[in-house]
Amino acid sequence: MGKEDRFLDGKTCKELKRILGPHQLKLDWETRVCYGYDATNQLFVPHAVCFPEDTSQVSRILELASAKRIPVVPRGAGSGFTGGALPVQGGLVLSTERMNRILSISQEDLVAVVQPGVVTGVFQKVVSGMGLFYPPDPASQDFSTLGGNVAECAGGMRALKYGVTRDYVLGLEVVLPTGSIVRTGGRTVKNVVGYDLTRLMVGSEGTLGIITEITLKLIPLPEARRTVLVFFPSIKTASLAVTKIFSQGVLPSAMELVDRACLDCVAQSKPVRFPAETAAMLLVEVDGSRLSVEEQAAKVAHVCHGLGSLELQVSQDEAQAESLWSMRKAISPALARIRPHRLNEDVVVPRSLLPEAMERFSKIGEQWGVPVTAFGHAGDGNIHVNVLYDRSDPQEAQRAEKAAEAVMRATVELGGSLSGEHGIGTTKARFLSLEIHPQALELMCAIKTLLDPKGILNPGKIFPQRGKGAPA
Amino acid sequence: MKQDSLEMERSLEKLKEILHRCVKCGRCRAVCPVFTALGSEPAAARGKLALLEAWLRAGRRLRGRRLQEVLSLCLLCGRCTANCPNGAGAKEAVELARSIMAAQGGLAWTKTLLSCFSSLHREARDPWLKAAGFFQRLVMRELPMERGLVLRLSATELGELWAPKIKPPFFLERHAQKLGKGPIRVALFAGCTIHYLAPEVGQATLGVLDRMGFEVLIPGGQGCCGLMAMGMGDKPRAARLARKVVEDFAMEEIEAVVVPCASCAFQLSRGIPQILNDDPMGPRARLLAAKVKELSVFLLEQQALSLLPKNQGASHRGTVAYHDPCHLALGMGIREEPRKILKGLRSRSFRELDSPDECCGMGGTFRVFHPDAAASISWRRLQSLRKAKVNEVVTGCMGCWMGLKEMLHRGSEEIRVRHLGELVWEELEKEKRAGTQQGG
Repeated sequence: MGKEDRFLDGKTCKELKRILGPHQLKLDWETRVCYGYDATNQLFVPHAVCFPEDTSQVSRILELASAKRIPVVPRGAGSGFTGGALPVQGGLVLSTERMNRILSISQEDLVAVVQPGVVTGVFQKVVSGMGLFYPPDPASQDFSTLGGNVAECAGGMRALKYGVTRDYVLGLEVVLPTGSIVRTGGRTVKNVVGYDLTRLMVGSEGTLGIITEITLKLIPLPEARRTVLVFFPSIKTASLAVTKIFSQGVLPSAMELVDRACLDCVAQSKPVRFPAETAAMLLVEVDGSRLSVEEQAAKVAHVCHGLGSLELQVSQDEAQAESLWSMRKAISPALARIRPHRLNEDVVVPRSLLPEAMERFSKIGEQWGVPVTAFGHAGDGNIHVNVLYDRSDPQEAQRAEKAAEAVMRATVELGGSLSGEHGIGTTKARFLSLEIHPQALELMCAIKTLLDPKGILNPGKIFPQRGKGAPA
Repeated sequence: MKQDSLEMERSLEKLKEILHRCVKCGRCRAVCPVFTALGSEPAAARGKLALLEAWLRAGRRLRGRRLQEVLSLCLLCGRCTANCPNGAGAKEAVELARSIMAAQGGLAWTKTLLSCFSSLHREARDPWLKAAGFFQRLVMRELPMERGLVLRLSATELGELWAPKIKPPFFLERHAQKLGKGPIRVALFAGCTIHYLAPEVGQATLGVLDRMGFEVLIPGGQGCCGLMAMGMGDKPRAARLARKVVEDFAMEEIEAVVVPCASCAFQLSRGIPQILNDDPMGPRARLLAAKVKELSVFLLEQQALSLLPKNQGASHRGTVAYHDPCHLALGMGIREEPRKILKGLRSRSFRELDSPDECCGMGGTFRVFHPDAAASISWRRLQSLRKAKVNEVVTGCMGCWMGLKEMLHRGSEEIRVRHLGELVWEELEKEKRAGTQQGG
């Protein structure tokens, strides 16, 4: 109880209640528990949860928090993989669930303005109903929010052709930790006036400001798409197919590689059949005009046949394509069928080094005696490497840590990056210096201090911590 | 007593196993109707599982008003379980937690009252409902508008207030008997809603079975299936009701137990064998479960489609949509059978709703305890019905029947709520009439 008093004395509670309506502040333990976890499956119980409904409430909360030095942790759907939404030092969780309105969609400007709590998949459905397209498609799109996607700079399967969240954010309204409200960017695709503060905020993992409004770029919806599903006898031929497809002049909208272990996992809950000798599956999506998708799909099939693929299916309609992709989206959580816990890395390597990287990752697993699975966005070199373990076996947990570190080191050696789309959060903070140069790290810290002098906004994230909070 | 603690231990173990499977990915947020309505984490399956996990990890007994409130924010529709990539049965976890809570800390008095009432013997229950029906007629319909009482009850509130009409004489009072003499004997499990509120559905079902040439047994003492008690966590009463069902229906000479209500069918075929798993009556419960047939499944298996008129009658009755009951579609995987029958009707054209997989918001007693959330859930269903522009909506579950009726009353819609059995019976009657006319 004493710890709770440190942040939230009666007076602070009263002031919070004055800022927020009666149903917008929750102090009961049960609600606080429900806002203390994310997809890393860790729990840190915050001291209070607030549900602001507009920018001015967010601003006043931050002003108060700054004055009282209360940690504030912004939270969308809590579906992040790196602990970005975890209140590791307690304090206030600021949920954007009640800021979930699409404010405007302009078909002439190809621009939409939304609040941060809008669910990505819901937004995509609304715009596609108007013949428009918002491409970023993290596997969590059915439940993750646009605010969270922007804060983490979420990627997705279509990043290969269409880019990531960053490429679709034209402007933001952000509340800084001191409570001041800042607008960055605008409604135009081109804009080079002043420093690009929009890009600074995108992917800042909620450590620099709380996003309260997002202006997004849209593009026309492609006329058609086709999904090609191919099974290969080895990971190597599957990865080779990836580069070969490009050399045929085809730029698929997505190209996903799934290894056998992941396939076996997902087959337990989704109807998927594959040849017995399958070692890897490649899921390729092409889009464009009706004529061009047929041509592209034929080229993809030709390349795969040439490399000795085992079996090949082409989706005939939207429903079939959707079921293939829903299987892909189910992979990540389904891995808990192998081991209950995992270190979830989303490393990126230069495309040409993909076969080598895959081989090294699987060797690392053998070396440390822990299951290491790999799936992900082969087209852009972004691979989800999962080191699986059981926390109740401390030795295995330790080996898993070592294996994960080896994966990180191998990635950096290959000239890759530690995270393509999940961010650093708490889970990867200790590896940061493997990739970021000391001078750049210093600069980042200076920016953080400039914007958040009291260190109240999402503390304990990105930068390596000395006194790490213990899980509840 | 020892038996009880052993069972508690086992329930806790089962619960922990489910909790262990949830990795908090958040996928349940995308499919949970209650979460969609309320938009807050405790409403989603993940929130409940995390809360239970934290509670058990702290070594605490499951009790407290707020925990009870969070756990009651669930329709038990099973969408979370069906869509969990990890196979974590969140619905089952909520059921288990509710029963553990009820055993450890007791049920809320409102729920105890409801559960007690549902477990009364039919003959003891009927007079109460008759009295309620009397007052209902007095207040809702037969009170002259100029009387002061109407004003005191406030006309606006009366308009909002809606309850299905209690319709004495009740179904089993009139029909508890044997009917027909066919080569195949079946039994009919009516369920409470048909008995008290929708005897016309029971009569239609009976009519169809009779026309198909079955000998139908209707045990007069039959009571509640126990799904409501089970849903509220009152396992002892649910078990008592389950035993009663087995006693009434586990007869060797019966080839099938036909159940016109999806929720009851789910309870009879899945719930009861589970509740009585370790009971001496377990084997009989399992035998009974194997004979249980939900009406649409039974009709299709017995080639009822071939009995339906082939040519379109002169009176076309417009378009009809089908509402999937959660217990049928998600609980038992039955989606196609009712649609096949509806498409076989010549008097109506079938139209699929644009979002077939949506809940009506009834969820057993959910609507009673969370009227606002239920209204918001049913509003979404109402939108899809409006968009489809249908004259009738058909379902095979008496819970949905009530939920849909309430929703359409609220939305002042001209859409009629029908039971599958009624439509089939109408069609058969029309055929008969047409036949006699031709003959004459």
